[in-house]
Amino acid sequence: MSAQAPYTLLPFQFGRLRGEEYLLVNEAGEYHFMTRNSLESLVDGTLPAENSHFDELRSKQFLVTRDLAGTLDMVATRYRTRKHFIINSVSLHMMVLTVRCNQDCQYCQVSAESDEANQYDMAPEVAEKSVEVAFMSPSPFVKIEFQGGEPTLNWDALTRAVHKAEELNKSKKKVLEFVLCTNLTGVTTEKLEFLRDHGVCISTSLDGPQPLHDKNRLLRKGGGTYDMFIANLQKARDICGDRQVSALMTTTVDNINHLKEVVEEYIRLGFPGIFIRSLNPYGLAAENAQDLGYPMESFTKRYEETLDYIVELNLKGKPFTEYFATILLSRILTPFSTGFVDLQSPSGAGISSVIYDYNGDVYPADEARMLSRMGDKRFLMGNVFTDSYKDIFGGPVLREIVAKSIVEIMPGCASCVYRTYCGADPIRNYLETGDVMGRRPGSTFCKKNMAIFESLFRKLRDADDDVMDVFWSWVTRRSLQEVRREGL
Amino acid sequence: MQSVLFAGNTATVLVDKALYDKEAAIAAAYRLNDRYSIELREDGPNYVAIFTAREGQHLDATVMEADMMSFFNDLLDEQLRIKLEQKSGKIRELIVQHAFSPIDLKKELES
Repeated sequence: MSAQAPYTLLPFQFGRLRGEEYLLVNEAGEYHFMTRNSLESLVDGTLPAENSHFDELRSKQFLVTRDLAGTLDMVATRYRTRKHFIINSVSLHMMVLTVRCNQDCQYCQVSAESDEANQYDMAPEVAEKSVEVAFMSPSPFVKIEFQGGEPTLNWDALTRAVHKAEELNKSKKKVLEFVLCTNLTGVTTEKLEFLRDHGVCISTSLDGPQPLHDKNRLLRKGGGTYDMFIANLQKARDICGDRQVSALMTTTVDNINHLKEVVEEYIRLGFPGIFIRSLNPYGLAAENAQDLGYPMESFTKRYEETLDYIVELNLKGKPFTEYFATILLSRILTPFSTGFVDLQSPSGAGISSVIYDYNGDVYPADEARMLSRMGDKRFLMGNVFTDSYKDIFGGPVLREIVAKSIVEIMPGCASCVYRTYCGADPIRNYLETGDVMGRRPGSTFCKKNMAIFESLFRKLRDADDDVMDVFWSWVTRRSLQEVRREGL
Repeated sequence: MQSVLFAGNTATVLVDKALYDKEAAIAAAYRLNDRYSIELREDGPNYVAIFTAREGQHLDATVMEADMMSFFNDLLDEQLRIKLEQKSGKIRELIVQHAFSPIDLKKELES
């Protein structure tokens, strides 16, 4: 503390929000808005105690006037809470049951093979061994997500994995969950009944109304998939229950200017929310980028417009959530770790989630597996048959990913005002720049997240009561009415 | 003194060493490295930053002027960050250390 300063300054990041207005964010995740002049006074140690910001800055732990050790203890506790995912260890275990797919989606990230290419199926023994490895994680949670290709094409491996997990869990007693990522076109009553009986959630894909959905989600033998999707969605809901089925969308050049229609379609079909997801630069999506892609600025602009539209719908009485905004707002407005592996520091790849390829090879993320399909096995962590758990999860691949995906020390991230809430994507960095740490200037990942953070913070700064009520209803998973009653 | 000289696809910027640290100049320049090749060197009382538009970047004079304005704004912010880090950097390290492996904070603060 300097001789004149009536306070000790605690660490924080800052950045210009608009005009002369700055946003400050500290290690505890608290934020504050102030002008450049006030910010300079704060850093200089000359902000007077009578200043209108002073008490708030103290209560938010940007400065301390007494009991520095006690305050640091509090900030460290909050920091630890935000980083709790590190302590939890790997809990999401994705299994590629097959690379075969009956669809030929134009943006397929995994470059699926034809539905006759059986050599890309995971053998039941590999599925069981992968489940055994999953249960070695110290995490009290095990979520097994079946992916593909189209995983229902290898039903034997799926059922064997489910049975194996249930058997192991009799003694391990973990919180066990299953998710099946399926296009729904091949599900039968019998299969759906199995999913229901074993509590397997269904995650499917819907890109919008029929003309938009059928633009890219095509059957390999030809023709769109929308009608089949709708019929089987209903069947899946009838058998498994509405809440067991969720959907994801992919934004392409075909639906980017129709996102409101996509939202309306989700509402029409009874989905409680949407994750407005941009195109990822992998597999066919990368190969077809010229035809499917768009500048990231276009995506963030459309995202913001659609978010406003969704907020408006909520205010008009239609509860509906945008999930990406909800994740970011949860990080901004609450002290908790959200467990969203795509945006963690260090990256969640390999330490929160992991993927087992059809042949038992283990990768930190689906994108890393994709790279191996493209001929680059740089991120291969090991194999469930030839390597021990310690070798796989304590080996050099994961150590490098962790060391090079800590935004707190990455160039361009370390001083970024959003870094407390953000994360890194080392695989994407490597793909785009050849370097696991990557470069922030020019990064589409960074452009997208920064623009969306900025947009959310402008809304938080404006603090419109209605908008804030909607945000809180998303973050707390309560109705708007409940949120408003509590505010009385 | 700060000044900028434009010539073709190059902008040469002088950064007064009395006002700014080298780290501030590097950090501010880094933000533009997707659009420019950047050379930074010392010349008497100044750091000299030479921004050359990267191949394939068609940056007209207006864009380059805006980029250099942005560089100067970032320079101010980066210098302030250095000052902030000097004052709170040790505390930041203690927070992170204490979060994962509790330490005697009072003792550490007195040391």
